[in-house]
Amino acid sequence: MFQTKPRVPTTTPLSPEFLRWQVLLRNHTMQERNGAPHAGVAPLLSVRRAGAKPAVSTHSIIVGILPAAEQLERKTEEFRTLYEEEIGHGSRALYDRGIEYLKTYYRDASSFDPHSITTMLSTESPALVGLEADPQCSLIFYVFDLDEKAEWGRFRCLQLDCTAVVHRRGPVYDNVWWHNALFHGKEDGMAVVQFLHRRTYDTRFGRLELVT
Amino acid sequence: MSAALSIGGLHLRHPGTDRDVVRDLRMEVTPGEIVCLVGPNGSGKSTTLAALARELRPRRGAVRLDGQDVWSISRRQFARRVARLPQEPIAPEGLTVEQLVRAGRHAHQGLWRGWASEDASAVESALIAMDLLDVRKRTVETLSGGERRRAWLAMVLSQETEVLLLDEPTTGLDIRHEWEVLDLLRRIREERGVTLVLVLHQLDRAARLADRIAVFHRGRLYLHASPSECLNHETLRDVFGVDASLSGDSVSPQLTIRAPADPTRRL
Repeated sequence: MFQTKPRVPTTTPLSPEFLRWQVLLRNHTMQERNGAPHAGVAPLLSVRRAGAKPAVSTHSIIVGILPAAEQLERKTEEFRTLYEEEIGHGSRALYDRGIEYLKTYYRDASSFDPHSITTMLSTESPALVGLEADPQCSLIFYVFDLDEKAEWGRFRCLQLDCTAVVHRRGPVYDNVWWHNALFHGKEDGMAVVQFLHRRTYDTRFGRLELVT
Repeated sequence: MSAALSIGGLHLRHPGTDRDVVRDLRMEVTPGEIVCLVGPNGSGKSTTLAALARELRPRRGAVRLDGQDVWSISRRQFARRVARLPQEPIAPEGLTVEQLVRAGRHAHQGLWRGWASEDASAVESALIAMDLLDVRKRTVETLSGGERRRAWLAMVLSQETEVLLLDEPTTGLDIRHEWEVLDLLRRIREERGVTLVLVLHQLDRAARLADRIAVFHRGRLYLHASPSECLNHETLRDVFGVDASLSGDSVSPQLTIRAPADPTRRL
């Protein structure tokens, strides 16, 4: 009998500039914004809806990045330990401690997974149902602030075509779940979506230019 | 006569519902400590108190009294050690104040032990403490809201437990009785070492009374610390949605509310 391995979706690395930008944004968020997410980490998720009209639904989400594979489980353990140590003092104390920890966590792009970005969705959300039916999707990043002179606020319109992998357990799930727990406590009924990157387009002013 | 409460990873859900109203609550209450639970309506304070009183079984986690899971203690034994005053208790019609207060001694009765002099003494002390001697023969339903509250408080006091769980004990009381009740609570802690966990809505009263305050927000413990650490501008803004500050000292704290806030951070 032939045994077939589960098919692993193909992926290509995120552009180095994009990953650097995401790390920079998160560092800025922790250092200057007390954890309040910047628009650059809140893309629109575009999900196909076979047979429905309109054929695409769009959802606002917040995305995260994973530690590089060799650090994944160690970092998860650090998140978990931080949570266990601090939760007895309340979620505010945990939040503040989490921010302190993450101020030095987001520094070097090479410490993060160059192939994917993640989010958490309710297991009952239409976005997740749609992704399970058809994992091909797009993330639309749009940042435009004329007053912002810093690197992270520079004008960006990017479309990332991705393949979604849904995790309900396992190392990726644990990492995202414990990171989220630092800010929002333990959440039941959530799934982690890992968006494996396929290609990125620059979509400024009607363009559709492949970013390498 | 002191007992410690330990709350570990508590998830609470009301029967017949599918949503946790309290999530992953972890908290330690040391013997003889006064802890006030504060927070907006619906943030999980009363539900937590019900779980501490073993009236609501946790979906996950445990409440321990001196290290023992409260659900492993017999009901009578538990009632001798822990008393709870709910938000809106209802007395059977026709029950006099004295009968109500005597009911607090029920857990101390037994097959071989009837009504004893210490029971009478406990009831008398509670009636005096709550200023109820004049109305002891009246039925509970004929009392004013404040008097009724004091009658229930007297019942709980007469139980002479190591732990008192009180849900908004001063609601409906006039200023004098409110202060007397709060002073009495502090006194019984000092004299008897009773551990007290209270839900209070008046933050300045909580700051005056409590050793530590547990701030609840959306079913979670937001902060559990001393009053001065808890009731700062940021907490008042994020949890209560007001632009306010607490000033003065621990004896006479003053809460000044300037305006509703527009919170910039929501946990």
